Amino acid sequence: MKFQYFLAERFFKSKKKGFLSFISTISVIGITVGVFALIVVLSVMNGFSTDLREKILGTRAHITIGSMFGDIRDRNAVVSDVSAIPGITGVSPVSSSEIMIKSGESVTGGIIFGIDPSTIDQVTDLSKHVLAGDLTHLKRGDVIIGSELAFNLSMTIGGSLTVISPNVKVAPNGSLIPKTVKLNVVGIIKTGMYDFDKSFLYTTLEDFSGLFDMAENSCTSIYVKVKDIYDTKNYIEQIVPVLPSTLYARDWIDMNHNLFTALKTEKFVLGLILFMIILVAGINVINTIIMLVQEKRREIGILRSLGVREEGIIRVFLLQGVYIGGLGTSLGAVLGVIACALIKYLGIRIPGGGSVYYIDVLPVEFRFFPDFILTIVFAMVISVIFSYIPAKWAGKIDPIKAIRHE
Amino acid sequence: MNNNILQVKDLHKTYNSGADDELKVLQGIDLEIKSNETIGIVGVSGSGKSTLLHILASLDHPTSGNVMYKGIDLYGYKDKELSNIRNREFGFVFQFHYLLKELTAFENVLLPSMIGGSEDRERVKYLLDEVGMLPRKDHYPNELSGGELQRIAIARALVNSPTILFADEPTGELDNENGEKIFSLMVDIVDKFGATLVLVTHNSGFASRTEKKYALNFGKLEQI
Ligand SMILES: Nc1ncnc2c1ncn2[C@@H]1O[C@H](COP(=O)(O)OP(=O)(O)O)[C@@H](O)[C@H]1O
Ligand SMILES: [Mg+2]
Repeated sequence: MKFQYFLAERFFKSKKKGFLSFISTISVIGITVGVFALIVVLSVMNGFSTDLREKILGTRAHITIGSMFGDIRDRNAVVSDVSAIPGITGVSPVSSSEIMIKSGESVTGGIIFGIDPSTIDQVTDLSKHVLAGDLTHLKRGDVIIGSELAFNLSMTIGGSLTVISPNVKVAPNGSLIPKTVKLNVVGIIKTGMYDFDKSFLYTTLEDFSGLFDMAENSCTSIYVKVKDIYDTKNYIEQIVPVLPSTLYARDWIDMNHNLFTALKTEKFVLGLILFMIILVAGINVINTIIMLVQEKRREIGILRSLGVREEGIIRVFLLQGVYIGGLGTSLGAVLGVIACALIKYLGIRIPGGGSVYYIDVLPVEFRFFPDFILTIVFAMVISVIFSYIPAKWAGKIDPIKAIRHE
Repeated sequence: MNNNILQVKDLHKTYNSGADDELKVLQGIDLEIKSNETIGIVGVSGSGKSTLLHILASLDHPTSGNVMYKGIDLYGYKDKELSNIRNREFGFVFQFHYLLKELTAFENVLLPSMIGGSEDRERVKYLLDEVGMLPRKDHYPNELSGGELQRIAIARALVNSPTILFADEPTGELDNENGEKIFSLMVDIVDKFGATLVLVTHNSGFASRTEKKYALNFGKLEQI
């Protein structure tokens, strides 16, 4: 065995009493806490991000085709042209607009979707979220409403509500009359996104067109589902050429750009703060090695007299840092992974959860690469770099001063 | 080329040079040591024996003058070469044993061998046997007496078969009886292995057993 490892191990393992053992332990704990926190927080951030993405993709299209001038005129033609592109797994026309809802005395705003019951399942997971009723068998005059909306309107299946279009007609006497349609509530949907569930209503394309006086065979958008959600840019390149020039296509990333950017920024900032914790823990390592070197001054002198080079001394103390860092990092990593597993399988309720995104259980998604690996590498690199500083100083200790020191 | 293994000319050592409390410890030392000689240097406490020995052994720096080891200036070497010389060619026994408390007797003796890149366990056993400490080889320093520790320190100094053994009052911490035993052991063992011995002591009784004797007085060396 190389003597440096032999000595480093003995120095590290020796029953150091009192203060030194205390500060070594603190050093290890510092690294442990930093690594642990970083792993758990990054995993939870990933969990949030994935959860949000799944919920968004569950209700919205991967790619949305829209028109620069309001309506898509010949929807059937567009649907069949786009369906022919390889890799596209579903296409369905969807109209949407803001409306007012009136039920009894209450009036509230909402967003109404006109869907094609026979193809809607190809492009969204909406059906999965329908608590009562059946989206795919929606008939004219039917509506399925969000669970929060139902709650706010005290609406149950079998009831009815009036939808008021912002399109207005001028009555013979000159007053403005909004167009209204009465719909029967046949189902409740709960997507898990509070914002969606409190304002979304789903009816047929025909009812929608009637409400807005749209031409037959038109719609406001076409939802497209693709094989690889991260390759949407590529599909868009293939879709655009088959579209009439007044239509455009955008992907889910574009359409929720702000949300995902905010999440990414948040993850970065949190990660940065936690990296700082590891940095501070690293400063602790410097302290510990300085104390150790101080305690081992005489031994350093003896080792030099026995023929250990400057770099040999450096290595012995560098290894102390590696042990502290290695122990702290392993402990932190193991505890972090265990914590992630516990969060996942036990399900930690978020206090006040459900009011924002309906995420009532803390989401967690452990990512081996790059998050986990990067955390470990960073903690180890910090430990090594930070122990190099005092180790270098140990190498410079004059053997005679160390030996004479009586 | 002469057969001097160690040669010192006009060596000076001044502590706190230039300051008010300047201390001229060595003031022009000339010394020639031949291969396989045993040299004793006596002097009262504070006369500069340790200072001289440390400079001879490459551990301290002279203020002026140089130390030629095998015809080459010791203080001209780089850290790497000097470390190799200390490891392979020099052995040290200090007043205090200076064994590492984290290592057993066996490991302490093995250490210079490990530092040199070999691990001659047989030699360690042989040397521990020579100094009468083989039965205690797995004991840690805090489980051994002063005399026993010094025996182990002697074995450690000899494990790489050094050319020169430097000893700085190796019996200073021991009672007379033990001191006598350790001293005899060292002289005998050096004689047996054919190494050069440079011993400094304040006990002129011990020095009389070396082939050449010097007295260190007021910074000067004088053969007696
Ligand atoms: N680093 C130092 N700085 C100042 N004075 C020193 C230092 N080391 C030793 N001395 C002094 O030099 C003198 C000689 O010391 P030393 O060589 O240890 O003598 P000896 O070994 O003969 O007792 C003593 O007076 C001692 O106090
Ligand atoms: Mg002395």
